[in-house]
Amino acid sequence: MSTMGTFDAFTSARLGIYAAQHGLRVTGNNISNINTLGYTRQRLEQNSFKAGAYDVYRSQLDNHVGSGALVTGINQIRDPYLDVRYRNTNAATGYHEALLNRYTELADILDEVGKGEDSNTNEKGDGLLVAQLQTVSTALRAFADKPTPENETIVRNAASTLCTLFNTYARDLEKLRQETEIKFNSQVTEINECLTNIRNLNKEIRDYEIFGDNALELRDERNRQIDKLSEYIGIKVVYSEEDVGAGKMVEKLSIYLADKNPDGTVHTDEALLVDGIFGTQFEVPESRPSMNPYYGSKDTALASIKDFLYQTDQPLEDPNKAGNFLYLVDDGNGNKVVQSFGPTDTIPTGAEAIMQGTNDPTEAVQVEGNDHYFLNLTKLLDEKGKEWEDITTTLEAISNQTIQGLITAGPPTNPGWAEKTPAVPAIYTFKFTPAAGTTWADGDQFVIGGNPYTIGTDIPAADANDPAKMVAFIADKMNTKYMAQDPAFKVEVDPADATQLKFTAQKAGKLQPGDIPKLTSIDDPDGKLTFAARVMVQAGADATYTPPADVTINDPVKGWDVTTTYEQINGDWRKVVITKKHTFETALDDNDLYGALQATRELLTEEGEFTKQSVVDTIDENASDRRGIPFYQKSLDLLARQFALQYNKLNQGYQLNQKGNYTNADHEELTIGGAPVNKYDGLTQAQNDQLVAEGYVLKDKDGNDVLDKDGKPVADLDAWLAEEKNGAVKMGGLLFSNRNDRDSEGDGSPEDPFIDASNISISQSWSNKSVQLVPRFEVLFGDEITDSTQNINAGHMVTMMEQALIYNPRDLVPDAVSEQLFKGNFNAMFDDMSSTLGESQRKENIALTNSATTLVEIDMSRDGVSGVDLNDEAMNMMQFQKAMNAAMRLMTAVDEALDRLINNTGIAGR
Amino acid sequence: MIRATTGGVLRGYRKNLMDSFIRDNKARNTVLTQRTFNSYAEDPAAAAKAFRLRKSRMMVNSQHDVCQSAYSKFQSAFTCLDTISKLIDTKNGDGAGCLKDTTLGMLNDPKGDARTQLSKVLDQMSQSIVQNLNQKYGDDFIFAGADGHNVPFEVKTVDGKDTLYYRGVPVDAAVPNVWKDGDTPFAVTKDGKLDAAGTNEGCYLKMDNIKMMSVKEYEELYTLPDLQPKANSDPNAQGFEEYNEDGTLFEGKEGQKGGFYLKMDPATGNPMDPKVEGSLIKKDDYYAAVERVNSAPNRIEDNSVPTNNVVYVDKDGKVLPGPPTTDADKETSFFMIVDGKPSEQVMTEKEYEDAKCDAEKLEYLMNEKRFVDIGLGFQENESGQLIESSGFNDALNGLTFLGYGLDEDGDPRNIYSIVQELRQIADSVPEGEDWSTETYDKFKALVKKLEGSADDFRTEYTNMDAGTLKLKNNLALLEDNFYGLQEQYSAIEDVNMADAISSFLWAEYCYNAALKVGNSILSQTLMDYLN
Repeated sequence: MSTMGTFDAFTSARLGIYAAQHGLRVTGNNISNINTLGYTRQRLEQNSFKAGAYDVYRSQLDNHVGSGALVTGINQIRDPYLDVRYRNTNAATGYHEALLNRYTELADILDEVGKGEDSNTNEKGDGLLVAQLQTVSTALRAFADKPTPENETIVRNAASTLCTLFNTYARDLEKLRQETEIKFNSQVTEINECLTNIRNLNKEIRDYEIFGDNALELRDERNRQIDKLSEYIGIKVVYSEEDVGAGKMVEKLSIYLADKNPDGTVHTDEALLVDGIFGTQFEVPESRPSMNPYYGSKDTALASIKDFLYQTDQPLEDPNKAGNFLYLVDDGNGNKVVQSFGPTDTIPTGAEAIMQGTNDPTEAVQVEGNDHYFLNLTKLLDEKGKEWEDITTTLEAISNQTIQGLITAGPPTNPGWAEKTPAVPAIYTFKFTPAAGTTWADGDQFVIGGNPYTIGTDIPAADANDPAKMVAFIADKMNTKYMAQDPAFKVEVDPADATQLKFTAQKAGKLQPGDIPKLTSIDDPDGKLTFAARVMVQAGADATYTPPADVTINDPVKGWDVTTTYEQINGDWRKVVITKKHTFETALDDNDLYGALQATRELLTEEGEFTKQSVVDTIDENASDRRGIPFYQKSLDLLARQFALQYNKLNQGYQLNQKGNYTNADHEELTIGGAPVNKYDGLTQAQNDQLVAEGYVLKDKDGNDVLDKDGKPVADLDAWLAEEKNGAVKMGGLLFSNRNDRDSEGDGSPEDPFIDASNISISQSWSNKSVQLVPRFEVLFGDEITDSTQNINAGHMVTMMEQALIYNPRDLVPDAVSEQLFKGNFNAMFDDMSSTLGESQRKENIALTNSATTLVEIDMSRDGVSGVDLNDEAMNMMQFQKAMNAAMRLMTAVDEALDRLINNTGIAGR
Repeated sequence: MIRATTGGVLRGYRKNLMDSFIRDNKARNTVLTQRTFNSYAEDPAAAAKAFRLRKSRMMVNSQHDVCQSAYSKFQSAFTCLDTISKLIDTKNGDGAGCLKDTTLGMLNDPKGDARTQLSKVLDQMSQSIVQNLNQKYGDDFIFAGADGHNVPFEVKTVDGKDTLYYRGVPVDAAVPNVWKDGDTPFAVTKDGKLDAAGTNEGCYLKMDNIKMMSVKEYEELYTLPDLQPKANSDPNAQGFEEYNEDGTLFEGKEGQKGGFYLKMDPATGNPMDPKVEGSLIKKDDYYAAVERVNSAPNRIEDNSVPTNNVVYVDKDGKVLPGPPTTDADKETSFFMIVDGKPSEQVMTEKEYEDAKCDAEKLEYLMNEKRFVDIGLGFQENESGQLIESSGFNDALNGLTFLGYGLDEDGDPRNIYSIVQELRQIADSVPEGEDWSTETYDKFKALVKKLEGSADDFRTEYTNMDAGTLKLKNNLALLEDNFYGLQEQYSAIEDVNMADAISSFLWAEYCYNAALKVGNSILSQTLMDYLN
């Protein structure tokens, strides 16, 4: 039976009360926070407490009883896997929601379903712009039927209303774009606030944790901030341990971008956003680094050379041949291949130099403006602005021999070592002291340096018995041995004493202990090979060296500074390599992000078929299939422009006679090569050739000659007709202009922009009726016959409304990736825009519904782990209450028992 | 789910309640708007289709307007032509006076009792026909082709004769038939000679009274044979040896009749054998030939020498380099024979060009078209010209009905012009006198041509009737299309109200149920049972 403290049971009761009280407090805290956003259910952690140790009186029969319960901590319950899933889905939901919201706003402008009066039933549904196009068509049909001024007024009014509708739509689209831009900037601000909050919370949590507090409420807030961040951008959260010194490890939270770029060679999508107490910020730079088109992952020709990089202003040197530079050359089949050219080689026409690449945006060629809303990440900084750093040091011993070897080898092997003072040789002597009276006889044997020698065979007995000659023999053999050990070692007969060996370590400096020579007699009972003790004549000293200067190499690709320095520690040289990792400003790739922010970026930037080829080459290979607000703006512009140009063209022409031949003011037929020129039959080959010879060559918008199917230049008849000297009589004029107070289709300059949806207007001349609709260009028989109601050209105007035209994005964006956005009439083009938008909206709606449902499910699962449940807490409350009552009851019981023991025991018979 | 927490259950409830409310709202909107979809996003394919149908309906509507306008115009035209038809022929009319009756009356009035009156009636009727063709529909003249703003027909008196003009061009204009080398007229002198010397007098030769006669035929008709001159006579005396029918020399003896001359052999220049058949010619025949040769018609000559340089041409009138040398060539070489003086056949180049230009104008006007869109497609080909079958030509040209130009006899085809000719012929006979046979025949021939033109009128009149019917049918078709399209997009857009209301009621029921569930979630926890 063991000993037992009298008041042990009191301790148990006290700890029980204490634990139950804590439990009630935790339960109360949970209930209080049931509606607190982001709150994670807390749980009391308690252990069974056992006090004391084995005492000297302990008996094997003793049964140890615990001393009660100890509260060891209060923890949260979270499932990291659910957190990861929640945040991934949250990014997807944010992405789809942002897209859908903006698509819906776009649809509010462009989707005409249910809008407009139905001209027949007075119900809505004919649309606005669609119906107005049809109104113009109807007015033109009426004009063609009766080309009167009254009908022309109707056409003009209908066209004016159409222009106003175009202007309104364009203005609304631009307003939406500007609002989206504001939204983008506010999202960046909110993300930065989140990042700052998380970084600061990390700092606070770390500080708390150092002092042993779990800082659960701060973690809840941090989780809430991370959840919020995950809606804007796809992130990856990593927890690790951080050594804060004195053997104390605390938790460190890091957040990375979620590696969402589909291009596997791009790594900026894994950028570090928060690392413990350090955090970055998003910036929208005014200028951005230019991407190197030849370093993109899509370019297989160069895939083996480099990763995704920015473009520098230096050409790329051939890695296999110094002095040569790499070029992209057409292989004749339309493919570009990499070829190397030296300074004396002839570089083919059209070859493009491949520029060097860099990962450091500050070294890259900068492109002014940021119409792609590119984002940069700043360096990782802590609260006080101190940069994130990670320093590692390695030591490597470097011997004097190695140093001497480097010096001997010279540059470039020698990084800069120099000898400061030369080495001093070590010298030792050994005096030969054979025992007196002993002599060698033929056949006697002895061992020197591990080799046996025989008197009479290896050395005559007389020589062996002559101390000087014996010393010379031994010196020779020992020298062979030491020379083999180190060529600098030398053993000889001491010139100052013929019976004394002299050991010299030439230029070897201070000897290592193992290199210090020693002579030991073996099997020499009569002392014929005895030497006196070793005498150090000179201790020897190493050479001293001047180390190379410290070298620091910056690696911008990895963001490291590597410093190499040499330190002498305890007389020995060490190569010290200090690797200092630091972060740098990172320019994010177009597809690095995922979430609401990326959705907003895409809405602001994606131009679908209007995307420039250079953007596809260097920024986003999938850009031509993504359509944001600019796509719809440009599509509407293209439609308005096409409409205006086609009708302007139809309303301008030159006087014809009844045969369709061009005539001059005197109604004489204009001739080329002696033959009349017919509008409908076009030029004969001979006429074409003559005009070409005279310099009237049709050019494309790049200024190149337009060629026919046989590869011959095509004549520019319009240019010839426009020449006053040729006598053609111009009729009609512009109907549509880029401003109501002028007649201009624009030249693309800021002062005179091309006609687009935002500026399309009735021309000034049509407004003031100095230009009218031209119902016909034919003047019959020199105006001797009138055809006042003829409508040939008006008929063209009617058919134009139904004509299938090609909408070429390059008419607006010269280097657009696509040559055909759509082919159809005006109505069909607008219909196609609406359908495209409708399909996108529908797709995003489905995606959002799916991801939102998943998000709610995950959230519920997460809540199932971390959320507060009133039933649970009610149970806990009862449980802790009962436990507290029981512990108190225990205390009463013990109290009563001790009272009995102290006050009422042993009083029998009193 | 391991645990179902209060917050988690509430969050799920909130989402489901919201979904239920959204569905309820959507069902309510469907009922209120009565549309199956309210945006492209709800059903892009249906929305696109509905808009296409609506656009087609609007287009059909405007095409209907145009078609209606054309139909009304054609109906007005039909009324005018009906009147004209009655003026021409009672076949379509009520038997009142008409051109046909009037002309027949004149033909059957050889004494000319009522000729003058009937001539005036003819004139009035022709004027009436022209007035009918100058009718307007709305602001436009119906029969003006593509010149609806100007009066199409106008009567002008030219050289004392009433001439009808259509849009400024005489309706009888025709390219004059002049002597041509292919398409190029031969230049002739004012006196009707081929201008071989290049005097450039700016004249052409009308071919109206010129006949072609082969050289062989001409020579046979207008050449005298060489005869055996009289022998043993006074060298100064002229005369031919006379033979008897049996080939013996006529010596004036008893029983000899004489009366024949002996022809000379053209090959040898010697007298032929009088016994051979064909070697003798009757004296009467010879002198008749002399008479014929002396009155031979004029042949066209050239002016390379002052006189008698006749022109040889081929059958097409192309000038040959010289006279034919063989008999075979003489059959294919021709003289241009003028009935009268060649100078009377000459017209100036300007007269020719003016007449030709008028004829070209007339030809253009007759082919003039004006297409409108009545829903037949209205498309252009690759060179930007309308595909004619896709539009409707609503240009009504009055001359299509009245006729124009001249026939092969040089007579007008136009009804008005024929009537005026008839009038002129009738008026040329003095009142009270009988028709001369020639005049009567000419009048009769023209009456026949008038009947021909009247037949042409009726044909065109019938054609126009067919055109009117086509417009009428097209109107009905467009109306059908209009309502058909309306039905089609209604079928796409409009909801089935029974379905929509059922769906709405169901959605509302679900929403109410969801609200009830919420009440139970909020009210009951273990806390409520703690005592």
